[in-house]
Amino acid sequence: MAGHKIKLQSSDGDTFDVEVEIAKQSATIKTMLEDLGMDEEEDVIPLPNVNSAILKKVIQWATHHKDDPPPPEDDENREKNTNDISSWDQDFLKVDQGTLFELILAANYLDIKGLLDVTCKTVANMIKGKTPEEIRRTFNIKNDFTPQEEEQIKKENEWCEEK
Amino acid sequence: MTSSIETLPPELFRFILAYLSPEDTSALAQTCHRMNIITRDDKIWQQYFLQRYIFSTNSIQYSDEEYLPSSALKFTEPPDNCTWQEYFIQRSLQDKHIRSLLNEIISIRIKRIHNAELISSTYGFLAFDVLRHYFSPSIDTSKQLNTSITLNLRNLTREYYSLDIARLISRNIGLSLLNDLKNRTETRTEGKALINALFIIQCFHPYGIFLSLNRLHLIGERLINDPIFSTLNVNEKCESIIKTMKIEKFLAANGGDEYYDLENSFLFSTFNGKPTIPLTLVAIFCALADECGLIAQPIGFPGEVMIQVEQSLNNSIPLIISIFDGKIITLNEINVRLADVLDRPLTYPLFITPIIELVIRSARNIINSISRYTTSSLNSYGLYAAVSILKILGDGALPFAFHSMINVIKEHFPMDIRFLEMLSSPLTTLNDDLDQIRNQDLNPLPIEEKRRINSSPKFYAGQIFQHKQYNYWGVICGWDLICMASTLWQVRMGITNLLRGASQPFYHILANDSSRRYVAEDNINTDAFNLIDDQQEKYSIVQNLCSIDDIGKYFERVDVINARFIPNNELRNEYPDDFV
Repeated sequence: MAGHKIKLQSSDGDTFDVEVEIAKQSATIKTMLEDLGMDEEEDVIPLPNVNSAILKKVIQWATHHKDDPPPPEDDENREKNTNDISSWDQDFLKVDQGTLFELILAANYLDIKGLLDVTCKTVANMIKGKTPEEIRRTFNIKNDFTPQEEEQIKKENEWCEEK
Repeated sequence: MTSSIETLPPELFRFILAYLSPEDTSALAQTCHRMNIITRDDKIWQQYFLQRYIFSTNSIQYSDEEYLPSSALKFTEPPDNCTWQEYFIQRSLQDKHIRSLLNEIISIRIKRIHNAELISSTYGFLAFDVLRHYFSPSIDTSKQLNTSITLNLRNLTREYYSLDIARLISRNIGLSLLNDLKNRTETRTEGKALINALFIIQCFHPYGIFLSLNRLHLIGERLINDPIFSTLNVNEKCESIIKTMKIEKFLAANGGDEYYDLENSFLFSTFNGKPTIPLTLVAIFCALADECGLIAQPIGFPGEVMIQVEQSLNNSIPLIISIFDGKIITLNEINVRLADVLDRPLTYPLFITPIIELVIRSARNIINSISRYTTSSLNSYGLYAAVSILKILGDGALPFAFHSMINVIKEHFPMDIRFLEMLSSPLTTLNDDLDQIRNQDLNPLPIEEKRRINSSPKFYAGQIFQHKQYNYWGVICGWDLICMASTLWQVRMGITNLLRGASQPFYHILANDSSRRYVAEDNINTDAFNLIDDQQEKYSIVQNLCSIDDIGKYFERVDVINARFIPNNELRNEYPDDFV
């Protein structure tokens, strides 16, 4: 039923009208609709773990991807590619790190596989090929090792090929 | 509170780590305490391990229960109660050692044999997990890319030695499997016994390591999952297997040349659709019958191998299948067909041929093929397999084969001297030769420099050329200022008919059919390549030259634009004036 809408409510109380088909990309919402039979337009689905700003982004992403085919099953025995992020997604994810990690949390809570994949890939790309020090700088991680610990950990990781 | 990498729950990290390489995850582990703990997620390390490694043991044993080499391919748990991460690190450190030995073999001439033997004896199959990354793309079809950039980037010398060592390991596995087979007190004749015995021969094939017998399991599965199949009687089931074999392109070779082709003694070409001899088809049938719950065994007749399939009822006589004719035949028909060679007609029960006897028969087939077609490039590999089989399973190698073997090893398998050492005895006069090879491995003779005189010779090592008379393409890999071949050779080749006869530079070349030749300067045309307009044609000529067996022994890379192969250090030292 195209155009049929439901209301989503963010943690800070804002409600958003969203087409059912778009909202159903979230497996969490899909289950709620099916289990609870909430298909009346008056019903509001509360999403206490997602704030307005993030929910807005999520809806924007889901709207753009509403006609995507379902994502393929993962093959665990194959190294995963991170170079296949569409340019739309790349632009969409040009956000500050706080937002990026909020999106991961939201994608996980709402169970939107495509969004979780693309956000995790983006974080992975920020780590790839970097030294520990470069990673610390990228993510503002505080080095809490003592010099002895650091020496020890470096030793444990000596199996890596020199780059 | 704003979110950051430090507040992300550990269970969500798994999604991110799945996109990282183990090396990236290791860098992340070194950033802080929390990351150090999060990156120890062993589920992720199991995933990393299975993505990187195929082989789980260094060697395998002959088995009549599962296809070879499946027991080397199984990962259930890490050994000795260690975690996947620990197991991964253990293998990475071994990989490092293998890579450093490989690099030594590539870059220095000292201890090449010693180091190759060390990789083979210490790591066996495990080394394949490192070496396979360096094989030529024409061998590893999974990484075929058709751009000239990849041609330029290929390290031909590393490809050459990686494949060479992998082949050495494969042959050593073949030898150890032959010894297993010999030492078994009890050998079954049905099921996977025969196909696995033929797999041992396959270990000596240059591409033997790329064969998987598991395809038979998949075919068998399809058969038994067909609901009609289970309703068939034994007779019909056999016919259904024969039909399936035809569909899967396991075909019988016609008589004559096709029949005696040496390739037929190896499973590799059979599994790639080439028609083959009955013995191979019998082995495939027995394995497929086993997949379908039937008991099929080989029966060797003079000049022919057939199959006996047991009927389910105890008192019923077994079926006999002539795989060559692709049908069930009666004992009477066999007696008529073999009347000339049998002393008296055959009666039940028939004698099931032991596996070892069939393997020895296969070795004889190989020698027969080699003596018929003396120029096949596969001959040296076939001879190696046959001599090994006859030596280990038979009463000792045939004297003629043994002497050819010494020359074959010296010329084609210098790394396999241990095999000759195994064959030699105080009775053979081989020991001096062997000592000399060992000594040269430890103290190679210095490379003798060849300097150009004035502007002779005209051409350079590494140049691509076309032969003026025979039109084949080749690469120059060395030269002499005048013809250094024997007078006999010169007479046979009609060198005096050339304009400048024997007193002109002669070139050692590798031709695009992988042969090595000695060519007079008068016959070398280096302009031909540059005169080709079609870039695609040029490219395919170079690609063809890159797949010459020994190309990497001399050249490290190819420069497609300048039509020139770039030599490795050894060749550079021999011809210092050619590469300034």
